[in-house]
Amino acid sequence: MTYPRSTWTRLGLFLLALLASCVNLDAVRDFANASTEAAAYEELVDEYIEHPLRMAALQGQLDMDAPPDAYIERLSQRKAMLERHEALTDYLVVLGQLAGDQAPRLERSREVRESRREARDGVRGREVERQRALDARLEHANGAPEAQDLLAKVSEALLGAWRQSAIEKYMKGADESLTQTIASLHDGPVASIPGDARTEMAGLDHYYGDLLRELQGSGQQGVRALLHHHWELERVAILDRQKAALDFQAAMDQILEGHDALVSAAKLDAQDLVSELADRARALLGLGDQLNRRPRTSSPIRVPR
Amino acid sequence: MKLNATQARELAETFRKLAIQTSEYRAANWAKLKPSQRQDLADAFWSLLNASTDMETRAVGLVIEGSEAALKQLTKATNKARTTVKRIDNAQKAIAIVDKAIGLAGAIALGDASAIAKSAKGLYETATAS
Repeated sequence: MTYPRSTWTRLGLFLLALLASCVNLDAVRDFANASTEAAAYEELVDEYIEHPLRMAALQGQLDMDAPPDAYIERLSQRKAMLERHEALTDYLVVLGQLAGDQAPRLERSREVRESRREARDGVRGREVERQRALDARLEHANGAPEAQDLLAKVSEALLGAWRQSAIEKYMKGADESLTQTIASLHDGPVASIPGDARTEMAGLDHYYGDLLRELQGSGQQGVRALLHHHWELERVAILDRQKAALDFQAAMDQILEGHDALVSAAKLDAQDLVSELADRARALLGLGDQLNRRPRTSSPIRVPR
Repeated sequence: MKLNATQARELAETFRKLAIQTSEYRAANWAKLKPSQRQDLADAFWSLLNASTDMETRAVGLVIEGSEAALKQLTKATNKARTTVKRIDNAQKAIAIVDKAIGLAGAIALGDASAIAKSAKGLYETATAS
């Protein structure tokens, strides 16, 4: 069967248009991957839950057989909060997968060519000639390299277009629920941690203030110095938790603003969007790194007074 | 009237400030106060701080309550998109299989035993890769 010339022209124009619309989704994938790191940080949920235990310890009333009501209530919120972390993390993982590797065939074609070249370099004498002849015949049988590359590029463009359309549909479909879920992570336990930290700091000052007043005039300088040292250590731990909460909130802001930029972008590889996403990915990696490097602050052991 | 999360946190802050003022008063007047008065003020201080903790807890409860529907919707959207990821992966795999199959066809046409074996192996590995 032969096709009229106009059919081939139309096909050619279609291929050209397809190749021209080929979208690079690397920035979307990198942003999604960097966001995943921060979204998966769940440590602060447990530190929020344990706050009433730390407060009970300061009051000399920590009894794990009868923990404070606030602790029981917070513990009952744990599952719900972890579900939100998981939902956001899953969303971002899938976003990264949708924006994933776009050039499998092209890459593989290159790999095949490189391995052939290496094989050729390793073979000597007549073997080299035999290999070259075989390669030439194989390439001929498979079609010219240019044609292979074109095929690879067309496959890449088709998959890229599919990916872009799927990403746009996914983001728009999840827009409202994603915004609200990010807001719940931003305004959930991490938003209570700074207040809890001030509460704990007040409790700590009261606790150590009383101990030091009781020791006044007793001449126990060593004990006083040790108390001051512990007081300071505990303050540092509280400030660290407070900072981590702010870092996590900053990460949620970055994810939300990055998502907004993606949803409103005309093209997913527009230069200004790519540059914005790269900045946000860098910021998110920095925040994720800070969060993951911080030591876990445990509840201090106190002797009942 | 039902509180919202912001109002709950504002109340938490109010309780906290009152607690701190109580503690500062107690410390400033330590020498003048009787032991029983010190204890009463300390009890009031801890009660106010605990009330602050309760309000922070309530704020989180309200945030959770208000985002239940969104969580379900987001999970649904993600699960749906997972199907698309699988389809794209399958298409990618199909392209790779076609690539290998062309290679095998070429090797068969040439009648080169080692190339046939290599291409067949490559096709099998691509087709069975998860």
